[in-house]
Amino acid sequence: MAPLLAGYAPNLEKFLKTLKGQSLEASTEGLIALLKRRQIRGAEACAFATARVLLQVVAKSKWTDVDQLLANVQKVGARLTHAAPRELVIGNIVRRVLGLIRDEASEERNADNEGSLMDSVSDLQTLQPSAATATSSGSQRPGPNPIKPTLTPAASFVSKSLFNLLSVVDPAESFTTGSPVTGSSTPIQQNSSATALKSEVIDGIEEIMDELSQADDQIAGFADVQIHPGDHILAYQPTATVEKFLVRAASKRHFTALIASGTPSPKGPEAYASLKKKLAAAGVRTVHVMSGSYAAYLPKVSKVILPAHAVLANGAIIADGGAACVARAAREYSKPVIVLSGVYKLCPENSSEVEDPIELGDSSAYVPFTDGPLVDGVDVESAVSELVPADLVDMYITNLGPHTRDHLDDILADHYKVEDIDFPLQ
Amino acid sequence: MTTGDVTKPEPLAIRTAQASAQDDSTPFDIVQEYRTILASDPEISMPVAAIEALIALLGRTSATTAMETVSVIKTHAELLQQAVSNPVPLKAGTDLFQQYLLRSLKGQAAAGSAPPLSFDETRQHLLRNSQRFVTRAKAARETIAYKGAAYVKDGSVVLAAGGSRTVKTLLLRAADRHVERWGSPRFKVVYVMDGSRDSVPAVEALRERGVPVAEIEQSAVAFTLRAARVDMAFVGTEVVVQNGGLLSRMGTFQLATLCQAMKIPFYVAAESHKIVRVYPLSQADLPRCGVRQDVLEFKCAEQQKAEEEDSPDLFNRSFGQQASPIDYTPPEFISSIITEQGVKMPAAVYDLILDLYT
Repeated sequence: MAPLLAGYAPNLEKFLKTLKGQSLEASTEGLIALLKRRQIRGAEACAFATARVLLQVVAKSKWTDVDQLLANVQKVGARLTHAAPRELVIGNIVRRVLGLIRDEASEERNADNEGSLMDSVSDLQTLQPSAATATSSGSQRPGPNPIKPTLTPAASFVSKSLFNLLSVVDPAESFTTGSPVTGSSTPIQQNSSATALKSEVIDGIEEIMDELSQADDQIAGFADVQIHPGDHILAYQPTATVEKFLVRAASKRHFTALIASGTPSPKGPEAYASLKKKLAAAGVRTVHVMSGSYAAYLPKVSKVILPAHAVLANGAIIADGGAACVARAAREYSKPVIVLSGVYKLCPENSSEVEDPIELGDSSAYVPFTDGPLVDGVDVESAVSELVPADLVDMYITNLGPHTRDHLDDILADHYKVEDIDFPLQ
Repeated sequence: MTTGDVTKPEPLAIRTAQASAQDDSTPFDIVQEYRTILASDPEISMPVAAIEALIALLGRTSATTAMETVSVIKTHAELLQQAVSNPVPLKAGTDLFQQYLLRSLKGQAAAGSAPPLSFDETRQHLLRNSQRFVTRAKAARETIAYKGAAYVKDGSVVLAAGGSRTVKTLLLRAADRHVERWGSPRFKVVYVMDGSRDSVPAVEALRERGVPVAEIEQSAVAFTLRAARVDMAFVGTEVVVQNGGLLSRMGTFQLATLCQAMKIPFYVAAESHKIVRVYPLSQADLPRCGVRQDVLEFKCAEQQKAEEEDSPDLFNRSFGQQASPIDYTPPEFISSIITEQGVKMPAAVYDLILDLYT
């Protein structure tokens, strides 16, 4: 464990402060320890911390070519995902950074190659034995490519075309021609281009961090379109994202906010006091719905808003325990369920691939530890997070706008490179 | 579809080529070729066999111009489709092949792959690499198995139906994964036996690996889904149609309906070359899609008697010899389609088709 963290309970802010002037290994270890101890938790904090550490990897780790850089990022990324396997956003951020590096590298490569033979030309020449042997770039891939009977998972996730079956380039190898990022890539000769790549990638990661910090505001930008005057909006355990959304809507619309709290929190109705105060200041009435009585309010409710820990590729979401119950109640009364989530929470995993979406945690809200006989006598389980099935969700609002479930595939394709989809398995 | 961009052939060349194609001592029989290919390799799927047959044709035809070659391919593809009672899987293969040829005429490159080849180069490439396509198609099955195996978790009960080789491979990979991780397979399989012999080897192979398998009849599916607490169902398919639905062995629709009613995920394992540009509207729409089958025959006693007198064993014949009938599973019953290009929602199939025809 990192010694600098001893003595006080660290959190994200303190972690970020310690990053300066610390070695890469120490900051990685520090974050792993924090993740394991759940001192950094929640999608936003995990995403931000991951981006910061990956930035350090790009800036400080030793690499001379793109492959090494990718390997470094993958190695650190894998350690972070293993430290907190339930925080799926960590994997997402790692995939985003890997994709970013691949993009920058191929841009650079194309700039370098201008005027000279493209790699793909050598493919064409291998088809014509009579043609002159491929020069320069051809030397990397002599002769026709051998067929790979067993495909590695990373390479087999091929680009989106049905023609792959018949194409000239082996689908598994089509990346080799398109980008220099697999096996045979040439090291970047000049130091200048390595530093150029480094600064490009660092800029890119900073953009990702900007996106993380702006996501909530951007989502809130869609609030007044979705919330209409006179609506009754049920928000289940509002997070910062939902809070901003409601407050933004309150500045323009008159509606009634029903704030549902799941577990009987020790604070009782005092919970979400700041949100209530802000809403009241804007003239919006709030009703606090205690756990279990959602169905009584649902006939009146016009929309249900859920925050998500993660949105999965098939549209299912991982949310606070109890969210599925609210969503099901909404379905029963035919009320739309809207999920608010930054794009960075959208995972390429399917709900069947997620190892165990239900997380059990602190149940002291139900049985206080002072109640000795009960604590001794029964096991009380409390779900901290659970899976809301895809068919219970009607709309997803991300920082890019509102989407239907069928559109999630396209967003995934826009944000992650096919090579990185299987990332944690590598 | 191609009249717009005809490269003007010389009329003389066509005439001589057509004449020689017909005068050939042994005329090329595409149907025979297809059947031979299908019989020679038990692992080959129908679309790929159709592609192989067309490649063989490409090697034999004496057509000299590009357009002539395309038209020869087209007529033979139609011949081939007419020769079978369910032409849709063949159409998947022949359409893919024809589009690939046409694309080279237009000088377009397939997205994300090689640069455009000229028509002659395309032809040479296809002839030379015919065996490689078969290997690729098989490799696709392995990839699907690898992806799908991740779905089979500790303690789950999986229902599989039909004799799909993809599903068989998938379950075997899942068993391998479990052995790697825990030392033995920690899932159970319920296999729906539909009367064909196709599923028997799969059951044997799974039992060989130490996976407990229960064989059930089709009529026991609803009971089993509940009684065995099935977690998910895997099926293979003959084709995936344009809207993300399936045309597959009779009983698939029934199984999908039951799974949806019981909220059990219904996964389809299909190679992407099984995607075809066909859009069935309903079960009754199958004849329009080219499928010829007599599943429904309403009779009264008189007709029945008259037919029995005509040929006493008609009943047995019509049920014994007919190619296995198929039904249509609409996309809303399908949770995900596992292809070698990733796990797709049914709605994403259209994107793949679009890429093929633009």
